[in-house]
Amino acid sequence: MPRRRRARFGWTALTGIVVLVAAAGAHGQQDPLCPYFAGCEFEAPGFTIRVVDERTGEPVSDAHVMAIWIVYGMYGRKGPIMTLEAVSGSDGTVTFPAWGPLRGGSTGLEPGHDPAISVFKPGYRTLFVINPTPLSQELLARVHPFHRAGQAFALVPFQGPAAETIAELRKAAYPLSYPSSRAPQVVRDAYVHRYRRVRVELERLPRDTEVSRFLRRLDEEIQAYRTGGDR
Amino acid sequence: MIVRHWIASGSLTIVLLACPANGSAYDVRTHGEITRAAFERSQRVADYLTAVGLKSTDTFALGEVTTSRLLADFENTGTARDWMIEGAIREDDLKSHPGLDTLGCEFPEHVPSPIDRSLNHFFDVQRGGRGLTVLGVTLGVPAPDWALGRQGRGPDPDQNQFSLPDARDYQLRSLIAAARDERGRNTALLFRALGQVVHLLEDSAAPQHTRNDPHAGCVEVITGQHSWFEEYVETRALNARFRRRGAISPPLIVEGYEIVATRPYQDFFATASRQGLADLSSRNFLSAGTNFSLLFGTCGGLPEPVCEPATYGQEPRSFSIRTVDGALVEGTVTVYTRDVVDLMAGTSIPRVPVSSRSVWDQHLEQRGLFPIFTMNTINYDAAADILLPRAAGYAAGLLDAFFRGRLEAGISVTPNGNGYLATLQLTNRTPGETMTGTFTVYADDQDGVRTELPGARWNLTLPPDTSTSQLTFVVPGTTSPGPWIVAFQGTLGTEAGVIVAAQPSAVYVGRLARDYFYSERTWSNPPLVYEDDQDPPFEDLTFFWTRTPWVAAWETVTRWRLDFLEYSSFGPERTDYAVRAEDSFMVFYTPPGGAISRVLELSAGAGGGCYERSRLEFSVYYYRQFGWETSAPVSSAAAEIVELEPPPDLATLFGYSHAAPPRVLGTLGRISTEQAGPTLIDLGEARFFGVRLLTRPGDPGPLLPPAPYYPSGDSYYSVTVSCAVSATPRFR
Repeated sequence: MPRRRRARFGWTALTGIVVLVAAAGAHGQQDPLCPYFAGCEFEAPGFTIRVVDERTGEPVSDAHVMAIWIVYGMYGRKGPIMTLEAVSGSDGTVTFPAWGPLRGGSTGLEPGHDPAISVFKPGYRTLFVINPTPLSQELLARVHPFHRAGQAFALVPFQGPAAETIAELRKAAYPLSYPSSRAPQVVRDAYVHRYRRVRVELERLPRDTEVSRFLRRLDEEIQAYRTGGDR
Repeated sequence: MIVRHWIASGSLTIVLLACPANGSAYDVRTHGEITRAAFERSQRVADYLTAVGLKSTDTFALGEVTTSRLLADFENTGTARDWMIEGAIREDDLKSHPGLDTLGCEFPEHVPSPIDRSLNHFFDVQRGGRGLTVLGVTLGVPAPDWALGRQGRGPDPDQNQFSLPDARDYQLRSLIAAARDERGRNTALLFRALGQVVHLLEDSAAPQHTRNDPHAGCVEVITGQHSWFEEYVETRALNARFRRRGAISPPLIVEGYEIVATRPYQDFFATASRQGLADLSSRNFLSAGTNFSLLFGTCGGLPEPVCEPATYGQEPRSFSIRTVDGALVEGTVTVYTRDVVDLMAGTSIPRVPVSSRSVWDQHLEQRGLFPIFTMNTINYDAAADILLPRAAGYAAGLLDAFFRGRLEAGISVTPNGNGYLATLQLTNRTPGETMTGTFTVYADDQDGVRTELPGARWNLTLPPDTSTSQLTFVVPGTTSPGPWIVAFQGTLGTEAGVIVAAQPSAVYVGRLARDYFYSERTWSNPPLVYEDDQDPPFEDLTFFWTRTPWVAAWETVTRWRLDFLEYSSFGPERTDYAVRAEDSFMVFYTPPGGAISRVLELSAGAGGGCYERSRLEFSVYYYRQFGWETSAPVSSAAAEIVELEPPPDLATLFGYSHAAPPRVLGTLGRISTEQAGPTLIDLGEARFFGVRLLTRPGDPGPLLPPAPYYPSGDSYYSVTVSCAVSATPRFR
């Protein structure tokens, strides 16, 4: 590259960086350079929800609830930057603690999945709730609260044929993107515990090819998340 | 000066560090869907599988399947198609770059690889066909060179082992490796390699890949913004939402473009006449980093499409988007349109919105103060709906080209002294291309161990639609009756190193018959009893069997009496009473992997039934002979189709007899002369099956009183009950 061109590039790059830094101020609480060089930090406040039976309105206890915050990854692949789990108490209440700050990617968290809630309780259809992220909330915003905190969510009783049950169990096992096997222990544990609960229900079904394959896959995932690292 | 050098060298360092991120292509499930469509549309892939005795449901190397979690939730069930899809996904394998985490580059979980494959996924077709180049530094080899093994291929871990020539190597080993597992593993590798090759062709339908527009989204200043186009298309592939949108993205369209037939392989990417897929995407579309711009309006320095917004059509386009929180975002953008010219199909698609200008951001979410050029989902949809069906059509064409060789092999085997004489005839059915190379025949034993048959290798030149002479070789009786496979390795047309295969379609049809004769003569004791088995039972009916009605099974019982009056000796009259019976068991053997379907259709109006026939003959020595005959139906007849235990070798197959038949494994179906329509029998995995009569002929009963006789002769009287079922077979 000729020297003059190199110099032009250098100054252009420097000017660009300054402009970008200035523009990054729009992200407010974030480190303004984070989208460009170091990745951004994210956090979420704690919140509580309730789980009830749709038919009776009574609280549902022992439901496994996951709150999943999805971060964009390179190649368009996404994964949870944080997943928290909790089990509903006798009054159907589920409480998630605050987390963060954690450093994630440079593109931000996915609206609607910041967090999404997955509720699994045998005897009910798997419930998936997306976050009504307001348009005013930047993807790169540092704080991503659940905007339906404090609300009650109704589970629909379900008892169906094996094929439909498997579909429900799949929804429960794979609510969103997979965490990396290098993800923090708390994230991996949430998935392992969900997989185990799904596994118990799967074992009750007549063993055919699909059930066997599903079981094998769950076992692989459990193994991967327990040991960590790429396979 | 120091600052300039710092910036330049620092930037370069970052580029080199960040380089793996530059090459992301259509996202993994988009590749998967395009590849699935290509696989399913390619008739030659289906023909190849049939030719080598594989079914689309066969699975390979299940222990080596990559877990779904690392394939964006795609579940590889081990079939050829799924291995190809896994290959299409895994062409994006990359190295681990722990250092980049600190720069904000969030890496997806991936299968560890010694190479960042995606660096070699670019093809800057308008600038001499170079690979990915950032700030004048070449970071990867051109995609066609990577795909076709011209650059970067080799045995080292950091070299490419999934190029087109690699696919050929795997293909050969999938046919001739001794162990069944090894052949299965190489079949998996063959289809995985082809998936990786078609991934690169599919990337040629991504303008960012053919316009040298890095789009990693990691250290964006250097590597470009994350590709929202590819992100959006992926949501279409996954039936998912895009960003803040409340609604699911529309389904991906990958169908609707004719399969491209062109040669050589390079022409799928680019041609001098600009008919390649990269020509189409690069010269007709803009990309996020090479879009019109008010400040840097060079469109990446590319001449096509012309970087003059004023020369494009301009149309207002309204949009209305409901977001996840229920808000409604409405507005209008001005789309810039042009006619997209498809030189391969010779068509023009009018008024395609290739760019937009408005106060809205690229996601149609935020309103700014000034109008800017962007690309948004209106442009993404327009581009994807044109480019992805073409990606599938070109990819299917490449697969068709890879498997275009067609070989026909007819074979017959007959006992020959201590061995068996095989007579083979090969025909080159590849349209317009001569085969020059080595033809070799292999056979599997019952454990699936494949070996080259002695004396079964020929160096031949076979023009199209030409057959060899009868090629003969003798094999021992321990040879498996099948499957056999003929593998060609050589030059097809002008392409060297081509592999073509066929399974000789030998079919054995035999009749295990017993002829039973019992005679109780009035003057002899003990009675004469005679039994005979047909030997050998099998005939070679390779070329005729499907055209010949089966005399599926029959059995007869005849009771007869012969009265003699021996005038010459004036002796007493004598009467012979005898019973003669014959029954048969038809057997059909086609070795595994033959090109027959698995449903047997026995045609309507199965012939046969049970008949009683009476015959009376008089013989007058030297003068005349006369008599009469009557025939009347007695009952209908039925037969069953049974599955038999396959023979382990030729000697066993030819050694079956009525007295020592193959073991019956189970009943597959039943045919009856009473049935009106065709009977369909699912043969399942059965390759050796027999037809056996269920209706037994009844005893003809007592004979009539002795017939009158003439002074110089004798009389013969018989009653026969005969049952048979015959039908014309057809394999669906």
